[in-house]
Amino acid sequence: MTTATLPILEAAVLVVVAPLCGVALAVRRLRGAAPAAALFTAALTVSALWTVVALGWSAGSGRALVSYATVGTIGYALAALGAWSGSVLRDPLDAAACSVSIALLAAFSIFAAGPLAANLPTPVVNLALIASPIVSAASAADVDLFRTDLLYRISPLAHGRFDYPAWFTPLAAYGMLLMISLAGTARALRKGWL
Amino acid sequence: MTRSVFVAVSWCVVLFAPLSAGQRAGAGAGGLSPATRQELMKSLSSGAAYLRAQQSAEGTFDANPGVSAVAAAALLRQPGVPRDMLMDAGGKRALDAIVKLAKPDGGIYDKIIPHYVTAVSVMALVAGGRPQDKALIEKGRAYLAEHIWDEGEGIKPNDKWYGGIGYGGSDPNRRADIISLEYALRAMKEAELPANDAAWEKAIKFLQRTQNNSETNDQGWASNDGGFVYYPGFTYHSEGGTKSYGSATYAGVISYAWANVKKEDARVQAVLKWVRDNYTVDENPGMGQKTVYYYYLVFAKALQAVGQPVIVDAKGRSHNWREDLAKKLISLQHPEGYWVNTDKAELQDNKVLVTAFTMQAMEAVLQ
Repeated sequence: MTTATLPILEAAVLVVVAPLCGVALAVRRLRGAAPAAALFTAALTVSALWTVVALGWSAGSGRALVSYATVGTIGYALAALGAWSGSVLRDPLDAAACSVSIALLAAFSIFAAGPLAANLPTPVVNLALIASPIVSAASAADVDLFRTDLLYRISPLAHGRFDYPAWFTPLAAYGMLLMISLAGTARALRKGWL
Repeated sequence: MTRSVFVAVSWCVVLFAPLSAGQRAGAGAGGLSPATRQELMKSLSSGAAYLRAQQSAEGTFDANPGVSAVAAAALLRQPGVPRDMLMDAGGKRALDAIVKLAKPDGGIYDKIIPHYVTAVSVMALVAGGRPQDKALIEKGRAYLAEHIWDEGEGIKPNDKWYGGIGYGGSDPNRRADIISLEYALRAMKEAELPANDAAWEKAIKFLQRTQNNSETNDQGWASNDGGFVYYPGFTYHSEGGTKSYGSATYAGVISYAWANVKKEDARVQAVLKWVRDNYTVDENPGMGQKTVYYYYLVFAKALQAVGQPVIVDAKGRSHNWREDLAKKLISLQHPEGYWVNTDKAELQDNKVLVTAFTMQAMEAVLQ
């Protein structure tokens, strides 16, 4: 593993962990949300600083920081999505299943689609790439994910036409998801659906 | 120069090229017949017109800078048209757009696949031949030679990746491949990297380890059909395993030529046996229609480089490859002037890229 791959792995972990954390917080009517957010921010900051120290101050470390900003936004957005599910659905297990499924679908559908992905129109592929936290984190770190050895060998998409998202696109998209989810959570909690 | 003058000159080239000095002997001797040559020039002219129509005001032909550079190189090498005319007909703008991508490290790229984009950009700048681009060309070729994997990247001579080159960038999983290497070597050759540069010998090590030739390949998987795989131990042949396939093999032939390995060398003779055993212009052997236009490009450049005008196949039949390929390419051209693959893998649904590949193949046929 290299320092460039660390945010990508963290994004992969967040796809499952962040929505679950969000559901757990919603069940507790957001008690403990502030310490959880602080802990997440601290962990990301330590990881980012470690990366910068390992890389030295360079263009590479600058890209890594952008990647961490992307991972942070994705983490908060997915947690907020989990909180929204947890505040709307009565059963926490249903909420967890719903939010984690959405996150997994966004993250991995473009990888799992196989030959189908290669036959999709380029704009659709590009949208799916923006939706994937893993691709977004990799792209922000300037890692050419689909031309890494394994994916280039097995993914038909790697041999087709696609454009990685610009660094600000996933930030904007997940930032929007964060806002919508927070608003949805606040509304649901006010209505006392729990 | 007006567009109409350019069109008039292009048509003169089409009409009079078969009568020009230096014309090869008839088709039977391994050259092009006058009729095919004339058809080919007409086809090239039509392809060039299509490409020119795609050029943006900024000089690019496609959003992908690599595709754009391949198109620029194809146009700037259009046979029979004076360079000044080519430069005025969009060549200057195309080169200026490429120059803008130059990086301080010598690479010429935007963001992704820096080795590949630098290689094709260097080729375009060489084709343009402008004195002001000489420094960039030299830096570009040095960048490519520097990125051939060696001890500098912590790769030892006994490593299977030694002497290879990959797409470049922040790739966490290093790998090199024969196609990337062919592009890099072609650019280094066209940019006149000295024959005694150590990069050539290193590249030969990788070529040997990618060839199915157990006499010279120290990897355990190697068999003896003489052809090439994508990288040591991995192939894109539709039957899997480590079977050699067309585009990798012709990339191997031409890479040996770029790396100054003589035709008489046993490694080249082994791969030429594969060429004889698998001769076809109907598909990319082992891959069908996948990447067939890159196959045509390396097929033509490789056979032209090794000076093999006639191929006698495994059944003893003689093939004038220039005539065969020219007729095939002419038959595949769309009325609008472009070529495009029915299989979209490796961007071969991109008309600009495929037209540029085809024009470069045709240019090799005419040499």
